[in-house]
Amino acid sequence: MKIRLTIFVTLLSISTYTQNNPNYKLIVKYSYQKQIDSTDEKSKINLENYSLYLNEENSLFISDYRINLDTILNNANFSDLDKLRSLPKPSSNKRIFKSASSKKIIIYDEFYDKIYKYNDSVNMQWKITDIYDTLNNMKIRKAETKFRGRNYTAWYTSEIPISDGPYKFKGLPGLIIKLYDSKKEINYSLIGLKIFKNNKSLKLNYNSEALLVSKSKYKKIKESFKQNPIPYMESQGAVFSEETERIIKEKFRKRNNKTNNPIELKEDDE
Amino acid sequence: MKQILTAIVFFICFSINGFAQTSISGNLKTAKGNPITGASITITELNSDKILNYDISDSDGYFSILIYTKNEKLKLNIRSMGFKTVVMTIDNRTQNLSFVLEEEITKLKEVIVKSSAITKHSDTITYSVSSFTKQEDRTIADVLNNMPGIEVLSSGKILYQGKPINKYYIEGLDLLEGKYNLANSNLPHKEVIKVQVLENHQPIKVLDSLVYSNQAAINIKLKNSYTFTGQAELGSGFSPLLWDVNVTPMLFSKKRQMLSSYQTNNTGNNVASHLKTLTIEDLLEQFERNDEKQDWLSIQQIEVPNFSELRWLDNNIHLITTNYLQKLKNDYELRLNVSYLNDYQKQKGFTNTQFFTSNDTITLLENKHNQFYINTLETNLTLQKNTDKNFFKNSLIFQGFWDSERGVIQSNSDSINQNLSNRYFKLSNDLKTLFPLGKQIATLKSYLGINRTPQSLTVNPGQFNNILNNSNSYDEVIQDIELNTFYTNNSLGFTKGWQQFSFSPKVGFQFEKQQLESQILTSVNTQNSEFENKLVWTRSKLYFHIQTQYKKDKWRVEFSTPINIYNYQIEDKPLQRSQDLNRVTFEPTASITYDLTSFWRLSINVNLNNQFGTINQVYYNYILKSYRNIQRIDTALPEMQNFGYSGSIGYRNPIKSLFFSVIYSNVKTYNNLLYNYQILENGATELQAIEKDNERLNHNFMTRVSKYFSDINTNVTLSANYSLQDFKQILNSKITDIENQNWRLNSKMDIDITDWLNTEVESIFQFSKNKIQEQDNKTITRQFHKFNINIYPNENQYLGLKTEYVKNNLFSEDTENFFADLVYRYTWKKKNIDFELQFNNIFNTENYKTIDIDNFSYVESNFRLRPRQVLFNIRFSF
Repeated sequence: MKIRLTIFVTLLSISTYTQNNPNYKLIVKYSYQKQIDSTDEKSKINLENYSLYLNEENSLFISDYRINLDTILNNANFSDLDKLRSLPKPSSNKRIFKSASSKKIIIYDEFYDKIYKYNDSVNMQWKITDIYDTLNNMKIRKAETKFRGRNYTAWYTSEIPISDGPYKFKGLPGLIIKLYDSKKEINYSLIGLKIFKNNKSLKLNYNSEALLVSKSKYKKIKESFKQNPIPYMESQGAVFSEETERIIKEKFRKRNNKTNNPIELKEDDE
Repeated sequence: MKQILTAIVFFICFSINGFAQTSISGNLKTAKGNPITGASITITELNSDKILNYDISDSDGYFSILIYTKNEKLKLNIRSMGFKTVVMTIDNRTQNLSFVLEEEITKLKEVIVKSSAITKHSDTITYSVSSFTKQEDRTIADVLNNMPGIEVLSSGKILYQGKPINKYYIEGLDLLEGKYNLANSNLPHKEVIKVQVLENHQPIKVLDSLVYSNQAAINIKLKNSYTFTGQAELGSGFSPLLWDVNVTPMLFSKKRQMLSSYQTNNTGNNVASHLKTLTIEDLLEQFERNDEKQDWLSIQQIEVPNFSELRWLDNNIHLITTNYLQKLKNDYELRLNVSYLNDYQKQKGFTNTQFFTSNDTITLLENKHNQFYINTLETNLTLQKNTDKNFFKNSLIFQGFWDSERGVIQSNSDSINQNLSNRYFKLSNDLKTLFPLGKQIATLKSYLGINRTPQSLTVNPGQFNNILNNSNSYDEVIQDIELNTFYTNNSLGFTKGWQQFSFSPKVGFQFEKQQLESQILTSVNTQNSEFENKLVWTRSKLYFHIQTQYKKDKWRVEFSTPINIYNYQIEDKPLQRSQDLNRVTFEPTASITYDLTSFWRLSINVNLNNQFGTINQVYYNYILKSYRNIQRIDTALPEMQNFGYSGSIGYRNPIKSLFFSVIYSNVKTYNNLLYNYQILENGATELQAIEKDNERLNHNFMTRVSKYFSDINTNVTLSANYSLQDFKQILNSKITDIENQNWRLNSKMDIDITDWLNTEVESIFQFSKNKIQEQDNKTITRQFHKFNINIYPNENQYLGLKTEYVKNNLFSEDTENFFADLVYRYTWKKKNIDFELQFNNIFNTENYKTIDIDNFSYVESNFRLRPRQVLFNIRFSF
């Protein structure tokens, strides 16, 4: 299916920026492919689409499944409860807020039923090459960077003068159209771009719910949840027999062995 | 300024040294003077696209770019969404430039939005089996594992894109439901031509466009018109000679599928319990129907130990099941499940019972040898239609139990024989259909059932001489009983949402008619009995429920407001006894949850409900329930009103991995009846009831704390429970106050020492105390201590050691038991064969003593356990 779109952008008004209810004017959709097991090439799977919501001052990068859940959760309409239960679960609960004018990034993530937020700062050194390509009549240009243990190639276009991109990537003189690492284990590709005639307001109550933690604390919570989720489940009133507990743990151990390929392999920016 | 400098990204194609450094800075504004943020400012060579350096304007519209080049002229480019692009030539010298950008619609060139495979919903992806098959693969499970996006876990569960599939079809037919692993791990891949993945599969087609499904289903396409395969498990051991066999053949074709299973063992594995997989909804409905097999009469049992059946069950079981599925015309499917169970169980042991009455203690020692013969047939014929327009499922079920029990009791020098025939037959029809009702989907349910309970108990020598035979001893007493029941339940309901509320109304009616006939015959009087019941019982209930939910911010409120109209008619014509009862009840429930902070949560629940007696709580003449229990309940229908409330506080702090909760609940029950236990000299009991309003109080207190220490991979849990019951009972014609108290303390520690070594330590202490008429009885203490080690040397091996120490302080003596079991499993991956060696009850503990505290008695039971045993198992496919 091919849709041809001619897009006019009007970004005239400057909206007041509040993090709780940001108004967005532009949405960029990326498809996301990931190899979840670094030792197994056939574990490369297509995950759900991710969206980058943009206005002049900030952007929000989020899984489409996650935004669907958030929208329903925040509207708290009970007729949607069944729908909520049947909605697809996101591959990642991360919501990434980037500011257009600074390196500061706020990340919201969720384990079990709690939202955490932490501040991250990214210093991306891009190397822009003289290699060009065209994609959908757009002139795209190749750039390279290193980011937390992986070497990335990005293709951006200056025809869309927005210095942003998928995940934590930004800082090029144009929108990132494609991004992949040298092993092609992580791969984002732009699949769509949509303008909102009226600013789209996202009702996101992350800030009021989220617990601010340091980045290192966040990592620790994530790790302990991954290793042994049973205390979390039991605290919700779940009761397991000895045998089920053993099976759950064995399952998690095997799962952890297979999903061993995070985007960020190390702490350092490079 | 500094920030911006460091943010500047260098374009390093040139060697930096040797060129002068130029700084080009400035700011961008709109015509109104507002700063322009996020614009890109690039400096290129004059006649090429080579980027020398660039910057993104900050929140003040400011930019700053360092250039290292000897070119005299440079090209400056300013691009920003919504503004006219600026392109100009500037001199290569340090300068400050300010721009007012002209607003303009940024016209993007044609952007082609590509569709990606994953955005297609309700899509079918087809994999060809041959292209994913590797040399060593045998079954379709192996091949599925090679397909991208599909994962088969060791438990057999299939994941697609990391999420479990919701249906496993073979040629579009769902024979096995949740047990699909049976087919998946046995079906040779050579028999399969294609595997289809149905994404976003909604199994109930009516709901397809209304209720979104995120799960996928898998459909297996067969190469040939039919396929035969299966799985077998063989095990043997000693002593005595043990066997454990499980043979499961399967047949699949496009229109017809069959799976059978034959299982037999004498290892204490009660395979009958694997037959049923019930959902919570099923269990609730079963409770309302009240038509599961119920034994009116019994032989005297021995309290079974409160640990795994494998340690004590002496069985000899044979189980045959067949599932058959046939595809019919017009999208109908017919499914037949038949299962036959034959089991012979033995129990040996003795019980020491002490009855406490208000003025006396009666002790009874019984040596018991029981035999159980179980013969059960169950069939289920289901017709199902699942199309876009409607969902229809009708099940016709027959159950037959031809069970009997035999028991011999040695009490002092007397020997008592009990023979019980406890048969039960049921025929029922269950209908469920979904259809659209306005914008909602309504659910209509209808259940219809008849059942028959013909049971008989023979005891010799005869008992209860004074009641049954004018105080003379006699040879034999026979209790015959037959209960016939008709029951129906029909309901219609749906769910509607409005703003923050959701309403689920439901209307329905129930009707039940029962006929009870019983008589006691003795060896002296074998013809007509003066101990006869001919009771006719009718119950009807009309109900209207509305469940309301409300959620906003930190509040969550739920109300249930059912109105029930009950009518009871009970009549025994020959005895000239009857009673009617009409009640309209309002039985509301409310629960409120409030999140105080992100860690603390409070909740409160209040409810009021009514309960009425069942037919086994009202009958006007004696029934000999067991050899030493004779009952007549000549009174009004029991009516109970429960008023309960509970409150809880929870603290959950995942940052510190600390979880804590306290729950208190209180239930007050108002009864219209008091039961009268008459305890005779020989320990026999006689139950009667008198009408007298009374209350029963229940307090429960529970607390629990758990903490996970991530540094040492250790989870520690401590919990405590306390319960107090306070009520009245008539014991030997006196109204007696009874108070029961129970304490339970539990501590558990779970340590993952390494990836392949895990240990668990658990200790439980239980204290039970009971008080009759202000008089304390001795406290009973029970202790359980467990220590388990699980070792996984590699992926295909498992070694487990389980040990358990049990200590009971009984009222006459203290007992100690020590148990240890060892399991070793090896999986031969290539051939998909599992070998397992079990060494159970290593210390050969033969007897287990336990106690049971009744309202007015202590029962100490000594149960004969299974001896030390070695069992070797092998599991493979054919």
